[in-house]
Amino acid sequence: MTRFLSSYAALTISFSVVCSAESPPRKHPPTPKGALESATALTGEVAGRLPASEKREVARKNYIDDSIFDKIKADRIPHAGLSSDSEFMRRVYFDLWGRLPDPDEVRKFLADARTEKRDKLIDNLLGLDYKEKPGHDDYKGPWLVEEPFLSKWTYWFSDLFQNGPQGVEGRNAFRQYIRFFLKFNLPYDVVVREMLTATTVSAELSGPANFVIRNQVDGFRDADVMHEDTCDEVAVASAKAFLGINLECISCHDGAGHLEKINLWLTQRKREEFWRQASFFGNIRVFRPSLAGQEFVLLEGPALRPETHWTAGGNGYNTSAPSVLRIPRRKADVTPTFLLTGERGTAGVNPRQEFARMLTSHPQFAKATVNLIWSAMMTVGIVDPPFGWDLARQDPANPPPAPWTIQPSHPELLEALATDFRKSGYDLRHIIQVIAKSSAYQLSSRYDGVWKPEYDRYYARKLVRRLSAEEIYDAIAKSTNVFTPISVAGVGKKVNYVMDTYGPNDVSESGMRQFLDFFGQSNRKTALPEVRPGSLIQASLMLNSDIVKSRVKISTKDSRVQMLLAKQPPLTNAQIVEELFLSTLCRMPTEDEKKTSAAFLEQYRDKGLEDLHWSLINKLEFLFNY
Amino acid sequence: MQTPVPKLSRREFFQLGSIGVSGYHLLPMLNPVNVQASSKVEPRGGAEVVVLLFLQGGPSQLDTFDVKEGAWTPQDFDIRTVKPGLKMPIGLLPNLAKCTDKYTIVRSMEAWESEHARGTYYLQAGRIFSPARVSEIPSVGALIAYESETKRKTTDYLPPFVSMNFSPTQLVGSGVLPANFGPMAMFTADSPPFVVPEAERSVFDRRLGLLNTLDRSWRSKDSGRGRVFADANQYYEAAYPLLKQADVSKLFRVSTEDHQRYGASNLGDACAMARNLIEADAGTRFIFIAHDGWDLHAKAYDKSSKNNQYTLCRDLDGALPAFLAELEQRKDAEGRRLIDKTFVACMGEFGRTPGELTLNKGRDHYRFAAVGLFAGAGVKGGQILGATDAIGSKVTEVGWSKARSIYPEDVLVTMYSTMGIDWTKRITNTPSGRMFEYVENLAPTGYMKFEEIRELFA
Repeated sequence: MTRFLSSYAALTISFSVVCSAESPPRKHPPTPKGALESATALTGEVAGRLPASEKREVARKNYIDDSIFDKIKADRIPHAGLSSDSEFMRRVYFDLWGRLPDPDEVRKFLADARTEKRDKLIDNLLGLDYKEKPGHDDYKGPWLVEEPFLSKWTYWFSDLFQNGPQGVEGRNAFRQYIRFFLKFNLPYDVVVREMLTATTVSAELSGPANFVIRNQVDGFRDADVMHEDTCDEVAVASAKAFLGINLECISCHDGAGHLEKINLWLTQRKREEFWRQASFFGNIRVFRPSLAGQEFVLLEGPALRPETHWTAGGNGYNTSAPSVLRIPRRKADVTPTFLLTGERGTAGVNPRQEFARMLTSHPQFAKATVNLIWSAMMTVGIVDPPFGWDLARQDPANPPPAPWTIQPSHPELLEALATDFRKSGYDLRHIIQVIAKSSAYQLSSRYDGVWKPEYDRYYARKLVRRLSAEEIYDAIAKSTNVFTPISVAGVGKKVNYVMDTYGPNDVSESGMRQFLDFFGQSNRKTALPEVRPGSLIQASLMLNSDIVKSRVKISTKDSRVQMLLAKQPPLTNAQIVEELFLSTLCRMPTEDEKKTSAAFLEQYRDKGLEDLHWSLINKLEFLFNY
Repeated sequence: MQTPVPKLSRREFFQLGSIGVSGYHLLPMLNPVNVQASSKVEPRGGAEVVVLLFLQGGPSQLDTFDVKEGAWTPQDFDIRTVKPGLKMPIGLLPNLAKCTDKYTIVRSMEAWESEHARGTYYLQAGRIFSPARVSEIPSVGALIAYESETKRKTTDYLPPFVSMNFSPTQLVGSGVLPANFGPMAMFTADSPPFVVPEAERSVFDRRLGLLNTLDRSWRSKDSGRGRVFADANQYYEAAYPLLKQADVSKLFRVSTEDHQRYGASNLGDACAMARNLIEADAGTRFIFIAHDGWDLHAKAYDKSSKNNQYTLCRDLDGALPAFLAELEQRKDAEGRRLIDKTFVACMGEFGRTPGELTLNKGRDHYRFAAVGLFAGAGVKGGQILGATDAIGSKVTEVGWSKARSIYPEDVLVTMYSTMGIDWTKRITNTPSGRMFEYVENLAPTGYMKFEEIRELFA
């Protein structure tokens, strides 16, 4: 029964959950002499028990580091040292590719002695090292990007745009559109303008038109098309995705009297202003020509055949129309007006085009976008949550009245990133690259001194991120080398990684479904992706579900443990242990781990090998990007 | 956020709020809450468990418990008067028609929402969806779990709030309350991940031993990586009592006889498991059971479609009478019938369009008339409260002491009351700084004082 879409997009507002918290104060062993010498932190703080490889001096790589470390220095905040090579490698693989590296890649990277090897790896993962690839000249350009990068970020944008509930054909068209704009690295402002203005006679023929189509609201009654509700939904979705602003509240009532403790800027906004923004979409008509089908049409202007049921819309925004999602509207001036500037559309120009122009040329568009990418890679946004911007609390030169404070942790960095983004031609890959190459991104999560919660907002250590549901599942599959092919609906191909699917509906097998649901996969209908807080079900799924148990069996075809045992000449226990650590945790075992694991294998032989792989997958570090 | 939240330490919280020591208590206490009562009410008490059977999608009031006959009615609905004032579709609900003395039907219900996501949220949270507050609003189940914490025995090993057959993406969680009061969600068709098969127990123990050796430093508070890993470990610690408890596998297994007795459906299995959990008396206080499929926009009476009025009613009619009968028969350690300490509510998020079927031969969303069924914890069976017009389109008799229809909030008050919870309480230190009232006396249409449905009880 999917005749009626649940077009209500926003039952959750937070996109990511901060996984970092304070360390309780505790006593420290005296710092060894050698560590003290290498501990020339910018702040002069004394290092705790840092391994010799983790020096606390960090080089400033780009403008991000200037901002982050200037502030750390000015406020005398201690910070962690640089991550180890294996920590860095695992981190950047998850953030850029959404998956674990192959064990051989890890070995190669660890053995690489070049000082610029981290930069090289980043370029490589982004597909920006094309000049180095034999057989490819400059002319062939950066669209030789590797598929895993496209998969991860296509999935990420598909979640952001909540691509899915409009039906399989439209979903697939939109998914391919996203993949291509990433592949050819198209300017993001161009892409967004296209999404806001596209028309089509069928959702499956136009990827970008699906951004609006996806927000179509049925009346939940025969033949009803809730045109104004659709306009409202598009206004909320576009402000959220492209401006980082949550207009949900003022879509029902004025901000005053409601949002005083939540958002200063929104307290000054009225519901009427929201309608005026929504009315930029007043001339569209989104409908399903066949009531029983899932084919959508998105046209501009009023219908020519008024007798049909799908005539609603096309005539502007009518405040006396009924609503199924919101409390009744009242009479008001609804001339299309941009909420951020008060600018009205030029007469005679398509209002949607005017809206797209105003939105993408406003500084907030670039700021919200870089902040969103920053929060995906740095766990916490400079403005956080990234969909909770308060525009009255952005300018340090013009601070808000007490008790309000400036919202961004690093306003000037936000400005610098946004400027860089604009100057690069709204180049998404460039922003990802700049962040990944900064030392701020590459700090260790480990800090052995006393840590206070307020240090988090300084990014003075890597803020740990729980991997997404898709990343965890794919990591289990890749680590064990046991893949369950998933059919992509409407495409007729099978993929091995959840990240390669076109959406959550492609996964139907009940065990996999259960696993992904409980770890917080977005259904792209009622929920944005979120890192669902831990639960005993999550723990139980890791400890006791077949998703893990069946994959660590020697008898399972092509499983990692089976292959390790089949190697000729046979591997030593120590080699097996190393291989399992590299493939599962992306690092070499410590001396203790080596000893414990090898002794366990010695005692329990083949069964012990299954146990060991199970244990490594169940180590907590497996679930986190740390 | 901006408002400083006066924080109780973990230790103080437990002194105030809890006496138990099972795995649940080890979970991170991120948000100690400050609760105050606002006025004096006398909760009824008597219930120790609430079961909310959620007919997901919105059941048609006029094709179930408020049956109306018209040109649209198929012959085989077999609508008959089963007793004065009560007609039932014998063709759809034969067993329920036989045991009308076990429950009370409310026909004067209305909903506030007419869209699934919002309606489903409303039912779970007892209030309108607010994007600004969604992350801090706990569900009814979480509040009941939280309020029941003082009753938790040291031997209790079951989670206080269990959800069955409902998507975790739509489930409202613990909000401002600590995470351990949130729902443990499961699907009866899946093998529950926390039940370790008997044959694997020794392997499981061996693996846990190795894991604990290998992962000790990462799971300790001294990992050097902040509190994240130690916090995550708390959920493992909470899972171990279930994973190690041999009895758990019996509770979450439905025997072939039970499966048949409860009507051979997922709903029946969920009810059988709920019976097990209530009988085990091991800490579960709120059981949320969803039965999906009632959103019959098209071909509602067409037996060839996957879900239709017949199949849905068959599931409900197979499960609910068996559930109520068994709760009546079985007794707890003190000889009390389980039904006397279990409040059962059965309802959807809204009703469906009245009268004739739509163009698609179905019924669309409708919020101005809906039905609910209530039993247990002192509910007097055999009653019918309220009435609607001839086609089920509007409430004509409210059937209780108020001059208005019955809303989801009134059901909420009733649940709290049977559980002995003061429903006028509120939490003052929410992250947003906005007061959280257990029951908000502010309906979408303005001020409205919500009340216990006293007329349900003997």
